[in-house]
Amino acid sequence: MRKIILAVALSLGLAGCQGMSLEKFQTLATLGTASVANPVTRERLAAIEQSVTVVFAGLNTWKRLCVAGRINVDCKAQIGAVQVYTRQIPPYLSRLRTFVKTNDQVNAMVVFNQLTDILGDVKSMAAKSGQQL
Amino acid sequence: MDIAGIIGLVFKGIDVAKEVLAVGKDVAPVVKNLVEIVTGVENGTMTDERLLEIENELDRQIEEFNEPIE
Repeated sequence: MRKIILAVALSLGLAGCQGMSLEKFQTLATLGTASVANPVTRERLAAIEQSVTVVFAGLNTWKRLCVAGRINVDCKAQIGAVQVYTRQIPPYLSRLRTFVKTNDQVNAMVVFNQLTDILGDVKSMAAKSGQQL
Repeated sequence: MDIAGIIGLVFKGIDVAKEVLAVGKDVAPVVKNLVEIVTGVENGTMTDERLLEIENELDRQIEEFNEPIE
């Protein structure tokens, strides 16, 4: 009986993870999730921004190498595909900053979680092009 | 492949290595800042000026990447 319960619990857990890429898992592991118990404080906002800065430093290096013609010729198309996602980030970031600074935790949590999703997509797209960020 | 071709590849490899090393230099201060922030989180200290600096750096990086690629 215990084995059946364990198997059901495991399959339910894995089902919940279906469709989530390794990069999304990594993003969640790095930035965590926002919740009532884990609010987005100013310090946490700063840590998040620094983590995202590291991701973009990697993306910019990729772009510079691509422009300089030092990597694969199809890198421009790959970067263009990633930009579709990265161009969505500034408005979310702007809203997150405002909500954190005005201590609107309800909206900060919503935007934080949306931003984490987009970052997971960015990292997934970059990983498909061989860029581990 | 002829020797000239191999030498060419070696030089290209050295150039790429230089770029990678340069990136390492770029990222090092960011990692140092992350350590500072984690310490700040523990102490509960994050000044407006420091937060603004961090935000400006991120905005700069995002803007650079989002510019259309030639």
